[in-house]
Amino acid sequence: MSKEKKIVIVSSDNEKFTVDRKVAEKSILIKNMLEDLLSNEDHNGDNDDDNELLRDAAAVDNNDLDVIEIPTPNVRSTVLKLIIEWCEHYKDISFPDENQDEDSKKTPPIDEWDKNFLNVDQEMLYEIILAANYLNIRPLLYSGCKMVAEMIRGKSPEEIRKTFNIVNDFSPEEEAAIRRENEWAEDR
Amino acid sequence: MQSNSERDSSPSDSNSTIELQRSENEYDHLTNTIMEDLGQKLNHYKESQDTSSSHILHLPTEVLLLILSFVTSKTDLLSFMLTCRKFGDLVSGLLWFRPGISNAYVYKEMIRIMRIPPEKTFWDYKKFIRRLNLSLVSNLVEDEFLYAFSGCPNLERITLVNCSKVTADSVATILKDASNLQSIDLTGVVNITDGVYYSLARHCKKLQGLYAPGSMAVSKNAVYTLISNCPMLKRIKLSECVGVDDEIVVKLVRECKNLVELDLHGCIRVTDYALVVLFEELEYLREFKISMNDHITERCFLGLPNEPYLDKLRIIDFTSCSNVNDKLVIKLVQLAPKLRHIVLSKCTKITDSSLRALATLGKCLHYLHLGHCINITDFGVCHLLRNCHRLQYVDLACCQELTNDTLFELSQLPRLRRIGLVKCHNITDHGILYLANNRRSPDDTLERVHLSYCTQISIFPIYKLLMACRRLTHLSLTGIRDFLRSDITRFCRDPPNDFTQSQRDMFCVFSGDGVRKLRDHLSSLYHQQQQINRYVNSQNIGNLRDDGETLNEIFQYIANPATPGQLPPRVQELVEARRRNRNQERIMTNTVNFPEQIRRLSLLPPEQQQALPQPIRQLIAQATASPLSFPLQDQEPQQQQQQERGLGIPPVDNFSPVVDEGQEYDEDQEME
Repeated sequence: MSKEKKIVIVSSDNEKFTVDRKVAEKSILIKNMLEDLLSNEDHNGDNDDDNELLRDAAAVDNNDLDVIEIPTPNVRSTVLKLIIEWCEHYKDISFPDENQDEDSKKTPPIDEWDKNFLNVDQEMLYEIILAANYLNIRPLLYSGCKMVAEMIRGKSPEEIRKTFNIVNDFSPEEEAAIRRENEWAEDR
Repeated sequence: MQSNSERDSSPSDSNSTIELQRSENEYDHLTNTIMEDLGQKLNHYKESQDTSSSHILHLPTEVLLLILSFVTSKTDLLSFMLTCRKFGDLVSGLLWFRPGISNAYVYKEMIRIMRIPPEKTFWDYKKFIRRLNLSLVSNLVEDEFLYAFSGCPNLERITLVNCSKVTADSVATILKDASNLQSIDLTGVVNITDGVYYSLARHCKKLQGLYAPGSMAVSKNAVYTLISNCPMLKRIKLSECVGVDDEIVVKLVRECKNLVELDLHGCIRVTDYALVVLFEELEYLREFKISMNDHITERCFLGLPNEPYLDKLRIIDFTSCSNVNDKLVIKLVQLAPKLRHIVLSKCTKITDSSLRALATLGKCLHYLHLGHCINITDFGVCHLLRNCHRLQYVDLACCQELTNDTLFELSQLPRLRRIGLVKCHNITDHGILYLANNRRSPDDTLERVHLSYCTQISIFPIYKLLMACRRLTHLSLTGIRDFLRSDITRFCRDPPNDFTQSQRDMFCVFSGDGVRKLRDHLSSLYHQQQQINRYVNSQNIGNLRDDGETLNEIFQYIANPATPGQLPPRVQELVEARRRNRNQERIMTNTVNFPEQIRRLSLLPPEQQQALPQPIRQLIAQATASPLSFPLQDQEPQQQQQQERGLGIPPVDNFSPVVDEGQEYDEDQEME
């Protein structure tokens, strides 16, 4: 019964996106929230948790029993739209459990689809990463971070500064000292 | 390749490092540490960059660290570090958290940088260092290195495995500022003194792990002081420490309630009295080792109930505790029904009764060492193996009662990775063939097989075993006559340096690529012979006991299939002569007396030998080089042996084992 409820995710600029529960639950944050919410409802329960979002969502839920609204107050609608697109794409794929072997998740290269999907300007990439971090969508967060790591690969410090628009706040002497003290770590 | 649980099951295999918090996520720990260190500073830098439009600087530290965890090249990290202060702070923490000291260059650089006063380096690197692992450069590490590293206030782990050149004084010095030290591994450090213990006691109150198996000379008072001052101790190895007696063990048990691992290998003064207290009070005990101790008897469990009281106990080792008997083992299994790893080697009193008790551990049991338990028989071992089907490691060295029946049960274990059957004299080719024939899946798990001094084994079953077990990386066949021939031993690895000449002569151990080469070699021998057999059989010639010239022609014919179907004239003659002589009788035989043929060919005059095809000449050369025969035949092993005896091979007695057992075990350890 509860599965048929509509999930509405609301962006910071108040745009509403209606999605299947399966899609929404790609976000572990939302998944946990829904689980809490629906089990609370089942128990007709005393709501003793202090999660602000949960209370907000619950409030909406009380107004309209078939719709659950989930606000994402720090995700803009343009970003949220992309996040949902990503979740739609992966809705039938289950990712390895959170606590599984750390190494195995990190080593594989970026999924080709993700690579295309994340081929956006830097600002958007960071916003996606931040949203994935906040919503706890680990595979997307990892793909995003790998994209950024990829942008560092094989570049000189100056090239990296250019790529990311970083202002050099080292003096040449300082830079030389850092090199002297850390070049032992280089691959050789 | 391995699941977590499996890895967890064999911590003693990787005894080079102390793993204190197994569940701890290394990366999270690193992240948290760096974020704590840098939290304030990073915010400060952010402002200075705010005027720029670089958004990467606005990412939270946890995300930046995640990004950097995907930057696999250290050179890239260094470039990133040089872009600006904020990233410099971030990466310097990463690089120095656990500096990877893996070669002489890094080693020298480390000393150089550590000797610069902290106020003259860009960062104070000593504050960054949390983990110091010198086991990769153990042959280089000298005292000056440790002196240079003194003053690292945040050291959490020190690993000095096999750093045999460092002295106790430098170790004590590095400990002076290490008030956050959680573990230290001194395995292989020689001459550990009281000074190290007093230094740990005085400065490292948070110590959880101490591996100091070289503490022979450490006094009771020093150990006592350490225990009194480090109540958080969880894992401790005090092998052969003369200072350890009952009083120390009781003190340890009472002070350090979190103890999960205790190794008292060779602590000969400890008795049942201390063990009673130990087993009664340490509810989290996971791993307990004591060895070479004659005081330990079944009374060490006195007063404990007949129920699973030591529920957490997974690993137990009673090596060479001569008074460990069946009663003790039976009680142990009652107390600790989840034992996974059991070593009872050289517990000579145990019999099949113990094995029946161990059998009740069922699928929990993964690792079993019963070497030198001379009284156990097939009956007990087979019952155990049938019940514990998840066994991965089984050592039954020198259990001389065992026969091929045990091998049959071993061949049935689906996860078996390592078998030790050194000096099980009763094992014959039939047993090895069971093993080979029952283990034929392409991903068979068997990796290491020790059969040294199983003197009855011959080549053919080993060939089959090699073909059946593709993951085999280690095979020891020391002291087995049939393998001590130059064409086989050339794939064997070098004997240990301290072996005497006669030990070297017996040595026959294959590992890694050597196993593969041995497999290929035996395989090609086998196919050569098959070819000849097939040809000879197809011609109904029977045993070719005629002159070498006929053989020569056969070989040439085989080597040169340009004239298929047409027999060489002399063979033709031979076949026809036989037909005439024997009337219609067909002479069918499956075997060719191959060694005999080669021997005859080798007697031919050199010109004629030169005319033989290359592969045949090679075989002759091999046979002449080693006076042994060529026993690779698909036939009943017994028959084969007789055949060889008839050929003037040295009698078996000449090959009686010379290598002492200790060395055989060393070889094992070296390879693990």
